[in-house]
Amino acid sequence: MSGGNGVNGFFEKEGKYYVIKDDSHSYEESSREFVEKLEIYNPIMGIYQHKVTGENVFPFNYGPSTGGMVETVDFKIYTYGERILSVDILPEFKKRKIQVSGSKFDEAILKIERFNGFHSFSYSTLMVREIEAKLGINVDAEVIKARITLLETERIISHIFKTARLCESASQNVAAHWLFSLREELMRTVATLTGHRYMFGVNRVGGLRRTFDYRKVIESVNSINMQYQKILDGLFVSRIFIDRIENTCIVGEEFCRGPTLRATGIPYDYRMMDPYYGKLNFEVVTEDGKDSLARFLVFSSEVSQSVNILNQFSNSDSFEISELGSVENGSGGIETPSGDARIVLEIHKDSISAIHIRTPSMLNMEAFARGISGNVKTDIPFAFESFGIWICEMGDVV
Amino acid sequence: MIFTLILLFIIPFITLPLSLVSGKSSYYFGIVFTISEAALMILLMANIYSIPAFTAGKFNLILTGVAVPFLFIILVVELMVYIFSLFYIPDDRRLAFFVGLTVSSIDSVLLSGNIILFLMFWESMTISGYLLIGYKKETKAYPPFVFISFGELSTIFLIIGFAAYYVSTGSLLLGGVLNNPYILLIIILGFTFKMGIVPLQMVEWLPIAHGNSPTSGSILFSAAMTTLALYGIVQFVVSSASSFALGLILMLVGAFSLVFGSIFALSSENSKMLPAYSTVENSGAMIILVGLLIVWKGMNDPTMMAFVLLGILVYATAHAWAKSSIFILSGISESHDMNSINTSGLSSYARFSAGISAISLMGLAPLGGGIGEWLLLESLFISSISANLIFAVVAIVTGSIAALGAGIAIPTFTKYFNFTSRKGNGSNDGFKIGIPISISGTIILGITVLAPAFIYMYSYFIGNIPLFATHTIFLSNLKGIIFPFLIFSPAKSGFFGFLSPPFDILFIGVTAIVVSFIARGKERKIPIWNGGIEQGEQLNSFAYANTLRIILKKVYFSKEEREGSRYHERTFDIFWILIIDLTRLYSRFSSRFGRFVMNGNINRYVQYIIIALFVVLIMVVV
Amino acid sequence: MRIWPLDSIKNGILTTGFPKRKNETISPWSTIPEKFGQEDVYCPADAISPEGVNLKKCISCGLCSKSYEPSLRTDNYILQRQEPRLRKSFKIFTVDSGSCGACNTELMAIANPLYDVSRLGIFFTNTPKQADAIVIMGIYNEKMEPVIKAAIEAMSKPSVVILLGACPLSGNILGKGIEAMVDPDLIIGGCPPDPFVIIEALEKVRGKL
Repeated sequence: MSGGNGVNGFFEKEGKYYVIKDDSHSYEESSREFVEKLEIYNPIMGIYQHKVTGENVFPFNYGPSTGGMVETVDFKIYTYGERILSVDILPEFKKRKIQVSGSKFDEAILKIERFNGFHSFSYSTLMVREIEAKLGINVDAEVIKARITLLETERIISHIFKTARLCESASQNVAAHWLFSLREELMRTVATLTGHRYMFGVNRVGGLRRTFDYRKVIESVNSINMQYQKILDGLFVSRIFIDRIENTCIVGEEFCRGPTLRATGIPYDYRMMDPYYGKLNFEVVTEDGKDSLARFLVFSSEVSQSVNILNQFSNSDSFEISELGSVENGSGGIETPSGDARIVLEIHKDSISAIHIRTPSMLNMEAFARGISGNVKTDIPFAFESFGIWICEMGDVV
Repeated sequence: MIFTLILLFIIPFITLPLSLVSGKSSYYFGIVFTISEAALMILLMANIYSIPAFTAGKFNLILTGVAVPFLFIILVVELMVYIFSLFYIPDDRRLAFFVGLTVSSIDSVLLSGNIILFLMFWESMTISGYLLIGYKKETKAYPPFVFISFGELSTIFLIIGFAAYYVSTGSLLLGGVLNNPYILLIIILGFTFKMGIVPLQMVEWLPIAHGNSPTSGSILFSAAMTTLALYGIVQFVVSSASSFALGLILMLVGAFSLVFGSIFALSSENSKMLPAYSTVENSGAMIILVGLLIVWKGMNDPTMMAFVLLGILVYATAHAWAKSSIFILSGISESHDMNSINTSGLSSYARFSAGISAISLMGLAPLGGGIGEWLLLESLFISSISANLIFAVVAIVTGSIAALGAGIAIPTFTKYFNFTSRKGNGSNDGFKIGIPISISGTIILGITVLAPAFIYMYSYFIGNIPLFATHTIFLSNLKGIIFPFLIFSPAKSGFFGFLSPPFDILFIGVTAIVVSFIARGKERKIPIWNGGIEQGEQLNSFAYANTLRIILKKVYFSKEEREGSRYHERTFDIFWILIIDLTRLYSRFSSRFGRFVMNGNINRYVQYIIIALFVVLIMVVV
Repeated sequence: MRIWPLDSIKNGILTTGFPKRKNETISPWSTIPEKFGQEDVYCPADAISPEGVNLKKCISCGLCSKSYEPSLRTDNYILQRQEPRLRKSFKIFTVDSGSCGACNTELMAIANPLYDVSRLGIFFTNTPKQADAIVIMGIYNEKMEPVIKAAIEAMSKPSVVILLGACPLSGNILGKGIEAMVDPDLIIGGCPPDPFVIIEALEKVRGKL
């Protein structure tokens, strides 16, 4: 499920190394030797290294700056022509070091929103909840409902974007454009209601900075979902599309997080232990294809699941607040659209004194690097898009 | 002038004693005699001059019919060999001797008037070829051995075929009407073994690629001997009765050879193996044309026969000369690994010449290879609208395969030219091949510029062969192009297609000049964009062809091996593997058999057989 | 079984008439805020001064909502130089120097059917050699400096350099900007800028508005 030994992430602090174990929200002290053996992510080089050699084998460069990728990343593809034997991934070109510790809460939230703008609400909620838990603040049910609405809407936007990028890479341009326009419509609704297309500045400690009617978002989400399902119907009968993404970039369960992990058949979803989701009914979508098609199926089913979750509390008035549970029993993590992110936070008065974050992309990148070997070069775009990796998440938050 | 023929026969042999004195002098002599003889051949083809046959007992020499243009083609190849040798290793006397011996044998085959002489010189060519590959001490044992064994296989088929020919026609002289298609098939098989067509292509590439064979030897094997074998086939086909089935079989065999030759050529990593495989491909194309000739002969269509024969001659000319040029280019480096070759020492004209040769072998008009390719495809497509349905279907299938092979030839020689003409450090061999390749490139350019002259000469000559009751010159003045500058292909009534190499040259040239004039001073040099970072290691020649290797995994029989983080991928010539397996089986059997029957040295035994065979042949002649 | 073209016809035209017509919508806080009250407000990016709001520094957070409100205008950019020779066709190459991903997707959004900039002759390209404009996003990053310089160098002239978003202009609240490193012809403010703002700015820089 993770980088071996049940370890989920690690960080370094004052020369000592700490690891975060699976299903926990605290960290344990460890040694550098242990961390180096993890093979999760090379903390010293910041490179996912898989160098291979051989007769006629040479590194073929793709990136860092290319129109084909959304963000800046460099692939060194080891190949003797066409087939990818192995790949080194160098995300450090756009690596940012974001200084959060020492910031006031408001500013820290703004910074963490800009850590990954695409999943900004997930990250701001992750931080806000952690601060609220430390300060002992209990937010009321309406805020929680609004937060869940935005979290799920963000997930839907992200999943639509990923499926659209997949269609675009697989030359399904009609579907891709249609999906992009659905995403745009949903973002416009979000912008009109919350004041920002990427939900920047909406969250604050103890509530929301800008109040809005989450029922209107849910209405819009429902109508978008109907159109989304129509497009899926069209895609599922397209042999060209299915053939293109089937058996592409097959991964094992190691290092996978989030939808990528669920596409390998493992029903792990952080929302199952998330207090916000408490007793909300939803099923963890799994597929066992382990390839790009399986990931595509997971994304598309999760959109329906998200709509399902939202409809549960928008349709019924009898929905009780107490069922949502309390933030105090856990947190420390959140299921972002790309997988679970973990946070370790220390606060001092009204500012943050220490912060450590492990994002899903850090691990998914390694899963991608392992899965892509054996494929051909033209498989890279849609294999990569199917992981939902964001390079911005690989920066340092200190 | 009865002695002209004797003179032509004897002159090449003069290089032998000269070579014992000094290699250079024999090469100089070779250059002089090939140029003057080639000029004589032009006079013969233009019907300005003719040479009567010479007979002394069973010693018949004759130079008429298709032998003339083939001798012309081969003489030019030999000219290139001599020029190349003069610059490459001028002081190696033994090499000069073997080159002279091979050249003399090849020329003598073309002058032979009867099957005995033909066979004798054919055999002597095989042996001298064997010596040319194997004379160096460090040579591996098996490449010359493969060469000689296939050579002998060829001779055996020819002996059987010729014996049957004698029985069937009652004459030892060439040009008898052979009515039995099976005999013709055996004779053709005997020749094709020497051409190296699939599945026996290893006779072509193995000695060249692995035999440490000197480059002059490679040129002779790949360009001259192949053309000579083609001459043999055409010589017998033209005079024999036609067989429809035989024609179709040859077309299919040729197509098979063509497509396999081209895909193996593309994946070759060896700078000599690649052109050798390309020869396999081109042999296939020429065999297709021979098949067409047989079929059209059976259909009694003299115009088409003449057109197909024109195709054979032009194709053979373009192939033999361009292939010689490409082998000269491969002589730049002792290393056969394409990735390590660089041609820094070459002048820009020499580089241009190398490019011209490569483009010609790609089969792109207006260069010679393109004209040949056009003639091949036109003949096939004209045949595909024939009233005979089977013929039409075979022609269209063969045509598509030929077009596919020609398509694959383009990346093949793009790769070859790219990797052999890169500029790099440390090569001082440029001076060695600079002048030879400039000369050969000029000759190839000459085919293009003088294309109408070549077409005119060959068409005119074909018209004078008694068997071809037509005097069509395949040149016209349609489409607004002045008379000799448009080649056409015949249809039942009127024309089928057109090609005008001079117009192409003019168009390309004028466009290039105009564009460069307009763009004067506006050119901008920018560094290579590699995603914004410095370029790392370069694409190698293995990677260049690996896409095809992945697509045609079953054909290539490629295998990936992995040890830890080290990768290897190997490609095999499946036909070679098959033959090796068969050989192993045979040798296991024969060693058991041998222990029973005799106890001796196998090499001695081979030498004994060859010498005995040769002696027997001489005795028969005398 | 879906018949895509039929569905497309049923859906009708979604594309905006912008810039000829008015923009349908806009992301409110991505536009430059305007003052309406007198109460003192805290700005984490230090963008507010007595003269008004500095678009280079504003990070669209909305923390100033007590006395500032979004202007909802599409002129959230500064044009330094026009290049009318790019009127007919305009190809964009994007470079991400360290962004959060929002600018990247907002810039990509202008190609979706609701905006469809190809109707205006604006396209994206995968190599700077074919590009007329380079759009740089994100904060300064040491490793990206040579990449950005090489990309600008590789473009054929005439060409324009565009900085997109608060990060390259001021470094946002995250780091350093890159305005000093390049000489931009157009800067677009906002965090991230709204697609309508981007379209109007691009049309301006190529001299069409």
